[in-house]
Amino acid sequence: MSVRLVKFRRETLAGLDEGLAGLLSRATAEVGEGRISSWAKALEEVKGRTEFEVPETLVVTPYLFDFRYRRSTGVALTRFLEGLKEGKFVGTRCSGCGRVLIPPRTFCEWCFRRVDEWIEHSGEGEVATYSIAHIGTNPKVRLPRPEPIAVIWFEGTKVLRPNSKTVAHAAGILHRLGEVDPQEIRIGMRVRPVWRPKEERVGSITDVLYFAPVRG
Amino acid sequence: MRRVAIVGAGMTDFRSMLPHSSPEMIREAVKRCLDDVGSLSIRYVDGVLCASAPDAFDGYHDKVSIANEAAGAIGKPITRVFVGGGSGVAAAVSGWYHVASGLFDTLLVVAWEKMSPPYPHAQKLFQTIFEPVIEQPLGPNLIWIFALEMRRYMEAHNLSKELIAEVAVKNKANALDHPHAQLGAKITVEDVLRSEVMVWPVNRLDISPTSDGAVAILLASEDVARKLTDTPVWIDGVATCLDSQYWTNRDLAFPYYVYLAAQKAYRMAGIKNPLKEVDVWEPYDPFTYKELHHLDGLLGKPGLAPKLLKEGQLHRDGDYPASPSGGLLGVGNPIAAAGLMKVAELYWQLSERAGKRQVPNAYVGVAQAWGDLMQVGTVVVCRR
Amino acid sequence: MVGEFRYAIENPYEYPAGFALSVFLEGLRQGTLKGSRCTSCSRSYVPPFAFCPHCVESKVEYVKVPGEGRVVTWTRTADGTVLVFVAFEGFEGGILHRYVGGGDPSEGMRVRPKFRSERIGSILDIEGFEPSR
Repeated sequence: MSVRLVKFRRETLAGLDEGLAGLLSRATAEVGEGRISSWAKALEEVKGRTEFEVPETLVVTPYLFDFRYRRSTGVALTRFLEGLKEGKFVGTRCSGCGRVLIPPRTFCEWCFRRVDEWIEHSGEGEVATYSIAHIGTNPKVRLPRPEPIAVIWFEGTKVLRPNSKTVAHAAGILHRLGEVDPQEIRIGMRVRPVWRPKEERVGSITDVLYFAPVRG
Repeated sequence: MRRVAIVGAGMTDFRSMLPHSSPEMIREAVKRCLDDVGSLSIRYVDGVLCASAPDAFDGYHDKVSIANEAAGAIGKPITRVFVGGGSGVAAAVSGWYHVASGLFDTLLVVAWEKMSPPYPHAQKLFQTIFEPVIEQPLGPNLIWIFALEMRRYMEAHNLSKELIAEVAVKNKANALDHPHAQLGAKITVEDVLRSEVMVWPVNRLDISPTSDGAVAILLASEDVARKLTDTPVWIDGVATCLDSQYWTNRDLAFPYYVYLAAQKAYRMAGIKNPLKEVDVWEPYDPFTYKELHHLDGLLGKPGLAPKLLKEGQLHRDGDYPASPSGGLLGVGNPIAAAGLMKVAELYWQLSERAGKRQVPNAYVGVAQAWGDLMQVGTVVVCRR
Repeated sequence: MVGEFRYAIENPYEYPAGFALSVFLEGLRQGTLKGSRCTSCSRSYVPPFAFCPHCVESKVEYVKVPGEGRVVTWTRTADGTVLVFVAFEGFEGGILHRYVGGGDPSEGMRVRPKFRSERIGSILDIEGFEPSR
């Protein structure tokens, strides 16, 4: 019983459309030796446990997705990103329920009405919850340093949800924490945004380097 | 509207890698389900309802067509439902609508997931669940969200990692008695605490793995069900509830959406006091703390589930047996199939076919799944 | 005023062909076409299925497909590539591939697969279809 990992070589790809040939050779390169032994183990384990006839050789083919996207950020997020470039947090406030929305939205899904009052916020707030990442997107690779992340709730935006005494609502975002020892992070800790230098800001959520504890 | 019953169920093994193609996996579950029913040919099944989570894992965007031949759906109506991880139980809910409406006498419900093709791991593709402009540039991985919610939950009820780790110990032990489980094992709380920290407070053994697998159940209207089997398991309550996608606006301590869905399902099933009337619980457990979090929602009392766990009441021989199947932590987590596996477990439990996993006097059961960005609650209530 | 945001979703994959298509691809590597036949209703398919799409429940056996097929339909893409869908006598389904016979194919034309000299277990082990002599 064996596993054959197909490898696309230049001879096979000659005469093919350039885009496809490029994709297949990149796929072959990135998959490399693949997980042949794991597939072989999976094949061995399945014998006797499936009603299908198990073939002598399992063929495994490398492929690659490469999708490029270009999307509009919409009216609200565009203003938010421009605000970030200028070093400030922009939001909207609903005249119905009074909620402040950061990042801003142009409609309120509670009141089902348009929201068009724009406000600015200092970006200061509190840690609603946090955690500390030791891995990135490959669970087998440890990060060189543990990275704290948090949901930050902006100051003055907390409301209780209608019809519920157990669930609170606030304007909040996902972001990283910095200038802090992971051991000292607490829920409720007050934090402020730390910005990239002005010339490095491009109008992205990463124009904020991280949120740091308000000290003193 | 007429009563609907589950009259058979079948599933493949759940494994981190299955050599089957997706259609072959689906067909294996379908065949085992029909063999379980015994007396019905695929020709007389009126339609198919299929569920599978993000297309990015399978790697080709043709999900309904994948299920077609394998579920005998050529020439028949076929519908797909998608609510992220909640799809498995949502499939049972939508299946119920199909049959209860009177338009289908029999319906094959199948759920599957193939997560092994992405190289080297499916984890990176989970990133596509995050908002592209405001969240993806931070380079998040899915475990971040669970870790953030777990920390919040621990804070809200003053819970220790030691207590939460008991869910993994319980479920993996339960899974030893499940014939298709990927991860049945005898582990201890220390094993969980000593496993690598992935995103604190989540350790590796706090997480269910990515898996390949498929599950199929057959639904039938009351008249047809009674002809097909002596042990129909009635689906008496169904509900779905979604919360806002702006998860950073919400307090994550209590799954309000699960609570609301459960209340609707109980009302439909005529259950007034779930704590007294339900015998078997299958809450969705992709992470250890999640079982407790969801159980709080199903029981309607924040913080109650960890108390019950501490008293040993969530074990199979306790008053509130939770995940007697072994759950996602023990059997495996092929996303959509895992939810339907829990519904299938209710079928096996309430028809007394659960073998060593059998909970005694199981008359009423609740299965629940969750999905997307901490926002989907899908619940079914079944009765013998 | 609205802005634009660019991003990419990129990931490599390792696709297992499963049971039936592994038989098919290994067949291609050996220079033959393989199909499947249902042991219950005798319907045959190419490429093969590991089960019968018609019966669902029954078993199949893998069989050789005749080397010659007929063009069912064809088209020419904007960059000049000619594609054909080739069906085989006694088999449902067929194979979509390039036509490498020069000029235009025609519906009903008899064609054979032109195999490469070095084969790896891929649909590309066939360079394309050409008219059989």
